[in-house]
Amino acid sequence: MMRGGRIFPAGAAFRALLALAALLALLAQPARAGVMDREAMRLAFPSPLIVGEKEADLPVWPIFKQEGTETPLIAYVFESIDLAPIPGFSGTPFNLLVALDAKGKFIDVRVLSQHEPVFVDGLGPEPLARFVEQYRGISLTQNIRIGTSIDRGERQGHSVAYLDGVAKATASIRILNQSLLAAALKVARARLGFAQGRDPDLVARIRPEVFQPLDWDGLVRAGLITRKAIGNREIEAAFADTVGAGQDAAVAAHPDDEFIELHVAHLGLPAVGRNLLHPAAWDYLQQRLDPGDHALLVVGRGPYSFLGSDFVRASVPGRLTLHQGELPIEIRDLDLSESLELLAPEYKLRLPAALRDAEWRVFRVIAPAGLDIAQPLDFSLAVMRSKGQFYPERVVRSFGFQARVPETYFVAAAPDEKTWHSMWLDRAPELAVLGAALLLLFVVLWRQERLALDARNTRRFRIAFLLFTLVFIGWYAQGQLSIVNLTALVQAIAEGRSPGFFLYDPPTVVLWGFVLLTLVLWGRGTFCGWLCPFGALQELVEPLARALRIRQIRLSPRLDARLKWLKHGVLALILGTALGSAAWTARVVEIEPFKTSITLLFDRAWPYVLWAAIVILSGTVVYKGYCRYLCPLGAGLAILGRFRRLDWLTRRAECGKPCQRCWNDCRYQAIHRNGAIHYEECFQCLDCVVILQSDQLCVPRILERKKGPEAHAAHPAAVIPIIEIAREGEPA
Amino acid sequence: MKRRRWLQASLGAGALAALGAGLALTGAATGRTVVPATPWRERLLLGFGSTLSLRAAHPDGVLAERALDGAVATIRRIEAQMSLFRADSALSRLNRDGVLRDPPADLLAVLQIAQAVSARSAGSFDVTVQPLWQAFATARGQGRLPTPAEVRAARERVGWAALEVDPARIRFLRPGMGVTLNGIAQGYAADAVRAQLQRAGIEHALINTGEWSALGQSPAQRPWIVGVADPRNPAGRVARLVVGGRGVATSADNESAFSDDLRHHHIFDPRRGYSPAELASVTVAAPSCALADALAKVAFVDGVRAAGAIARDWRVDIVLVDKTGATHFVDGTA
Repeated sequence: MMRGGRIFPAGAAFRALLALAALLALLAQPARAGVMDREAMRLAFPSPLIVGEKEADLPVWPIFKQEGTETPLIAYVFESIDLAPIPGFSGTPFNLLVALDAKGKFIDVRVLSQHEPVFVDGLGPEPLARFVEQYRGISLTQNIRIGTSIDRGERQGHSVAYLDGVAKATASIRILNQSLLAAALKVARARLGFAQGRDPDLVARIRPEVFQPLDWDGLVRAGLITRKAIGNREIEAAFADTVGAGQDAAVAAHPDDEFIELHVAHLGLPAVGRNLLHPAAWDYLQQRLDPGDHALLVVGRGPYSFLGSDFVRASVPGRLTLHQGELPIEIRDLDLSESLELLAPEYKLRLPAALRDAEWRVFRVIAPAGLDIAQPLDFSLAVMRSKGQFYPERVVRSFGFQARVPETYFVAAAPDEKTWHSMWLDRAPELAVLGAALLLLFVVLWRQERLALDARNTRRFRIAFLLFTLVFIGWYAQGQLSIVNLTALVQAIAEGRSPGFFLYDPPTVVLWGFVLLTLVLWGRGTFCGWLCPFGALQELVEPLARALRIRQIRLSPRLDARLKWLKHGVLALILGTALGSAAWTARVVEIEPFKTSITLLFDRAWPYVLWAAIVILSGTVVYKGYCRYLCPLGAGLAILGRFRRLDWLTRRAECGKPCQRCWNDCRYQAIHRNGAIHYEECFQCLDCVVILQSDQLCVPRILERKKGPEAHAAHPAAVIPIIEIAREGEPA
Repeated sequence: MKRRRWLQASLGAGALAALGAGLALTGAATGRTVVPATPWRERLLLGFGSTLSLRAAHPDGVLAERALDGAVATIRRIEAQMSLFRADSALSRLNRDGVLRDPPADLLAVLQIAQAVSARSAGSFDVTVQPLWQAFATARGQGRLPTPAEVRAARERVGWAALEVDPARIRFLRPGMGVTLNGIAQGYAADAVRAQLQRAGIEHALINTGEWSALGQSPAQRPWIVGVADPRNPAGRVARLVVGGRGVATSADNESAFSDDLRHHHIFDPRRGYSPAELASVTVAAPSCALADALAKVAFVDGVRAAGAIARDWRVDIVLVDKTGATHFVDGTA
């Protein structure tokens, strides 16, 4: 399958590199454990806080507080990396020190370590520190939204917490938020009894702003009140064939009468509560509820009581129970009716005339119970019958019914907050532009000879596309592919993590997809010559050099061939550290000036800017010197480019023997004296394609024209000889 | 959680106040203090469903820290064997499989103590009440109390005599049985920690594993004293006990109640299947904390009238508070 242009013995080098990588992978110790020990914890949580012993079954430290002679537990502290090592953009996870109180509220969040390219030296750690400070006081029971403050105006209230994001670091911030929530939820479920295994963060919230004046019938029509009537016949039927059959004379005597009629409503919805309660009573109810709590109104009419004579105020009712998805959810009497009556007579619940004498209670479901109002609420009413005076035999029958909160009244859980889907949706316009540009490039390169018929058009298209690559792909869409992508991948694989974190950066994924495709077709040139924003910058600097009359140096073929090996050394070094130490990798990859010049637009500490400037300006003397001799990404692509399927550059028999035109003109020095192409070094600039098709530039063509028609006959234009040029181990 | 606060609070009047004074002296060692106070080390940890605390003093701080590390490890080891929350604990495996071969040493030891107390108390203490706990806990999950039939069914699966404890094998002789060590594991842990600290050369320590044990003297160089809290008013004290070399354990109806009126709670009369109606709290000071822990249940079940006999028989002190709030002191060493 390797069928072309093998000029130098890279095969052996490639195998050696693989062996080295495998060895390092074996030696690499994934550094993923937490870093805090007792002393560090004591420094972080000083007196009057007391750091408890780290838990045995969960990497969590209890924190107590000395309050007089008592030492109440005030928080669980954990490192996010122990519980949710979600890789960041460097491939290494964030490590956050998180203090969560017993109710699921964040007391403190600190960044212990992070290797996000954008925060390491780029924006610096301060914006990150400011960002995590916002978590203080926010509860796990809230939906956390990250965005700009403009979003806040839309919805206020307890159900959603808005955090200000960090510009240029949206993706990193989302990964941080995800790490934090995932780790905190694990602790909350294991230690705070949250949601009995379900994800309490994925629970719908009441929309506090939805309200319209409605009377009882209006509420019923709006689906906000669920009515369930059970007739005597149904009751008796349920007890048939049991000792309870016929035990209730009244029921047996009037089979068509109603046994009980129940009305259930979510009183915590403003649309229900504000319509049924006096404004002051509504405020009182709000006061009684903690954020995330639910208040369920149950009204019952008929001979049977849903409470029973043994019901105790403010307790959990015995007859009526609530389930959701097989899990029981405790409902506890809020004792609201008595409280309201005590406050003022007019506070009484506004019930329709038909229900004026009905029995009603308001039950509370606490937030940590994880009731999801987007899911049906399954109520069950138990009816018990007994037979016999002493040691009576008892039979219980349950009658279930379902209540649903209509969709307009809640904010559904936002799973997009936690996934990469929203990243793609948010950037859809950008991705569309990028996709269109890639398609255009693909078509043009597929039919490159047509474009190359006109030298000036070729030049114009090239400059235009390089400007697009630099400005749109690089600076705007932040789509500079980088060796960091590869080191992150290597680290993820070495540590057995999923490389799914790439999905948080859509342009990078799209570009890599395209680059891999073109690698297989044409080799590294498509990326290096067309899609690398830094490469574009380098190339666009060249006309500047010409204007300044700086003379470019063309290195001797011998020196050029040696320098081209340098980038492979850089690549090996970087991949080696990637398997060893994340900290060292972060330093070594700085050889690459992409982050400084493209990602951060030179907004960086001066040593980095200086290095980027040196690299870019060196391009005025040695044409694209960085790309050709130093770039580790280029080296990696050159190696992968060996799987190229097409020898797409047309050759003539005269190429190299004797014609040296293209050899001389190739600014990348990717053409051998004998006319063979070093595809590993070819940047697909199309210069030689233009030459080869031009009667003015291609020397053999010029000669043919001079020789006249008989020469044409000897070399019919329809048959351009393509020669096999795979020569293993040929001297470069 | 209630249990933790209750006993911590109970210390306020006694030992902890003294502890506070001791720590103050340590801080002002150059002042009027004649003898430089021995530095006290403290560890707090979560275990057995509550907050546990270990305090130890030794002139060599490193030695004290190492001893406390060992004590924490001891508690973790015992909890890992006896926890019902962990599906992989030896006890959970016994309950699941009905048999446990080569039981770990602590589990074997604690069950041997338990069975001895059961035999001598005619079954008033019984570690096989787990089916009753489950019946009440399941019903509580549904917001109700178990029906008499459910209680009856659970009670039929209770019986210490049907638990065979042998160094090679622990097993149930009847199907559907279950063991809970929540009535003795904390006391056993206090004994184990006390012994372990003593071996490590610690002379002064206060051990709170949910039940209490002590070594030597408090930081104020006085005997350790614990207060017995009023079960109806956690801030109030009904008695103070000198710990001495003994273990002190308390059982109260407000620790884990199944009904708001505290009528139904975690202490069951193994013979009836319901909680005893007479008492609100029982505190026992016994030669070992495991024994104190188990005897607190015996006295709770057998009631005030039997307390004198228990105290004499086992040579322990008992403080009982009945549901009316009346306190009864029974001195078994008199």
